[in-house]
Amino acid sequence: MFFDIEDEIAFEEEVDELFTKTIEAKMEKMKQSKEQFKKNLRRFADTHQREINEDPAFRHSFLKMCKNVGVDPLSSSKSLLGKVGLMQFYNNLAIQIIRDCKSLSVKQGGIILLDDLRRLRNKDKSEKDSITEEDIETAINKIDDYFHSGYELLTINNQRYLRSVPKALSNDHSSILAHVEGKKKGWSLSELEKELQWTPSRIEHTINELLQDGYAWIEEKEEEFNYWFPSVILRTLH
Amino acid sequence: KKEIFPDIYDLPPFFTLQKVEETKNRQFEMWHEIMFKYFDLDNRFVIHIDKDLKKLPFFNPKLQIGLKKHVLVNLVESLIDIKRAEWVNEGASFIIFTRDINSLAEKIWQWIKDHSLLNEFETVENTKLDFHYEKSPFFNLPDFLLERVLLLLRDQGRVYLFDEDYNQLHHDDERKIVLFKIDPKAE
Repeated sequence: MFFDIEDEIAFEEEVDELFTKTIEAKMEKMKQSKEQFKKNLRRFADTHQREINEDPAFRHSFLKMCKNVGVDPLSSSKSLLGKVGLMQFYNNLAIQIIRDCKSLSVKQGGIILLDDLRRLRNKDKSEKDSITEEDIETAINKIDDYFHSGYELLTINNQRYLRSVPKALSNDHSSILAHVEGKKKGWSLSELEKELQWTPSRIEHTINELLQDGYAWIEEKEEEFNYWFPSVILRTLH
Repeated sequence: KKEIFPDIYDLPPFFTLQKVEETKNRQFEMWHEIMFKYFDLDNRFVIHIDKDLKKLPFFNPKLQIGLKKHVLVNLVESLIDIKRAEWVNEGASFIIFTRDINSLAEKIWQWIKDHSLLNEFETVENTKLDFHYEKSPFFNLPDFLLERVLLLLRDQGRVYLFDEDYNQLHHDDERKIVLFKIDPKAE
């Protein structure tokens, strides 16, 4: 209850001051906690550097923990956590992935099954030193941060693929690839029209684009061409 | 032989000439590799267009599908462009260089240096008969390939070539190479 305007103003000002002091005190406390947390995290990374670099499960748990608290150990090699060596690890993996994509894309075209990449990377490694699909995804996200390269992760029928050609896949492209994925056969335009219930011009336009981008190959038949999609029906490694 | 054929060899479109330039280049690159490996393993260097069209590697018995003649001709032309083939028998056959002549020449030159053959005369015949050559890069080389290597080494100033009368063979001389001598000053 206020008896006059001046009392009301004075009260408001007292409340504001108290509020500001409380907030400032809390911020200071949080800042101290954050510094302490950083030190603890750094100590943890130093102590467990070997496990972080060599044990995939440990590495992923560590990365997840960092992510949860908003810390990116891959932001810079000079950062607090950069000295753990994770940045180097993922940089090296990114370079290997780029090389693998170049060699695999001769056979596969522009999209590569992530599992194929993983198995290629792990070919001569023990289980302890193996790379996981999560490692590959982390490295790929780093590739894209550095180069805006157009490398992109896709899901087609629950399978994870890496697209390594610059042009993005449209919804129509993805629909056709999803439809043919895993089926080792060629498709005529009339067959695709019937199964996807699209107009002939839409099918023809999309298939032509997939041909131009290297996702589709033609098979010459007597009546009409058949179209094949090696990227989504071949496994590179047995 | 299983390692010679990539997975795509078992898909029909691999035997159709692809119309998109980039895809065709990829297709041809894979075909080149298949041909180099297959014919190297088979130790074959002369391929007949009509006779060999219905055989491996140009015909896939599992698919019962093979390359059409015009596609094979296209392939050979692309090999000629990269100096890995030549037409013979008026286009009825072609020679394939399953190994790159330059790297083969380097390999042979290195072997010659390592085995202290500098300043020696040697006959072409001896490289086939003498057991010392069994583990050398000369071993099992067909005549035409050895001749190409020797001509290249001559052009590089590393060997002198002679006919059976000890007459030196110079550039464009078509007499048969019988003898060669390493230039001692060559590196």
